[in-house]
Amino acid sequence: MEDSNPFNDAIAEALQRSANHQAALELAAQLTQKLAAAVKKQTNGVVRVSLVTEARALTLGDVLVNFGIQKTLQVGKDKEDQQVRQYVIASAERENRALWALTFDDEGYPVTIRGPEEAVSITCFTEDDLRDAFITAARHGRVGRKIAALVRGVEESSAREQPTLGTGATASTEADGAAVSRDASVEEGPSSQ
Amino acid sequence: VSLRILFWNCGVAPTRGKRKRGVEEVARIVDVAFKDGVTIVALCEVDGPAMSAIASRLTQGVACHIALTAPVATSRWDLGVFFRTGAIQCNAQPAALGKDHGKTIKAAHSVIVYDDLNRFRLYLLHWRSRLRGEREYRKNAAITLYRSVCDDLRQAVPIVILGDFNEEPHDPPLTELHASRDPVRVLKDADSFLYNPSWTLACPPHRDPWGSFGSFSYSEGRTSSAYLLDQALTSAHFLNEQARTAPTVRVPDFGVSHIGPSGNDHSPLELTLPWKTPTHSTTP
Repeated sequence: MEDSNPFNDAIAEALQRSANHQAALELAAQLTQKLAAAVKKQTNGVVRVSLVTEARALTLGDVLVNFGIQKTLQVGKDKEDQQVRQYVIASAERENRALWALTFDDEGYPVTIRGPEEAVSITCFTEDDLRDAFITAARHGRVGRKIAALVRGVEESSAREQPTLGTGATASTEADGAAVSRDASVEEGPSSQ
Repeated sequence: VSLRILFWNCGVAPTRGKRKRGVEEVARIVDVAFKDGVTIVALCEVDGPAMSAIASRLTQGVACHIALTAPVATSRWDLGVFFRTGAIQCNAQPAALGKDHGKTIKAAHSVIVYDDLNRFRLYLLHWRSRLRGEREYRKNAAITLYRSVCDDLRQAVPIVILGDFNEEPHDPPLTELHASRDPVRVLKDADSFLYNPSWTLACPPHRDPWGSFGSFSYSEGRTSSAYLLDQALTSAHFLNEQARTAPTVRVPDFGVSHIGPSGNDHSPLELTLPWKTPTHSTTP
């Protein structure tokens, strides 16, 4: 007997698109983790790199934007809606830097990388294109400057604390230890300070 | 109260094929346009030397120029902008690029146009020829450009897009750009829809069914004699329902019909934008 429910096909298509979208998200997460590992290694664990949703990224600036907790259901405000736009951020102690932004299609691809320079974007239609774009973005001097600035910030912070504490080595170790202990997270990112 | 922008695929230095005319002829048309009151002349199918050569032939001091002709992947951009000295400023911006299986998609180049009271991003584009197919390329160019446009609209940046789309207003790449002929529709979703005033040029004038239409005349094969491949799109920032103002387009001649090939050629497209001047400023 023929299935007369048109929503069966509709939902099957929606689930397939969801799977494609999930695959694109997972690739971005994998690439971010590899990037995070390289940054961690080359900054002795001072700088963490993570992939966060737009709403999360907005809470990480110098001015804290308090979105609060969504207490009522609202179209466009669910976790899945927030995943459409995400940010690769670098963090150290109390500072964060946005390295580049990602916009995902509902079917996964294309994925657009905006950054590291403002107004520069590249839209990637395949996995390989996205991998290349991540590597190209990571190579950018602006990314290097941001990571270096985070490292410098931690060093200066440690130096300031030394005379007061009189145990500079310990304080520095603690700071480093705190950063090292927090591996690159993909879902949550660092907590706002 | 208005700003006039001319876009013309002048054919002086195409990336493929033969040129259609020389720099002297193009410079003459650009000069005529400026004398007629046009503020910006955007050209495509130019290269760096052609832009400089055209600039050197314009009435002295009338315009500055920006060549958007840098190489990208295995090709180059073929766009350039002349703008009236002292009237406005133009700053080149990064291009909107895509990658599909490693191949670069040149979606659009752009400049920021501004004066003391106005500011918008002017995207210029020249998508691959429909004579060679390339429909998928143009569709992906539209997707790529739309991503960039959405970013601008999220940041409340007014948008103007002018270009040789190699597609007509009803074709999928233009629908991908959410380009509507209806200003009322655009105002309902101002953060995602663009207004396409070019629709009025897509068919013969209603008073003269034999009159010319479109922006590209085509004399080969059993097909239409004209197409509207050159179009202008704007964001809702330029629409004012209460004042009944909106961008308008026309296909001026400026003498082009006397210098070009008789068929398979582009006419210039002129966009007129509502424009704030100091006397119309609401600033206290």
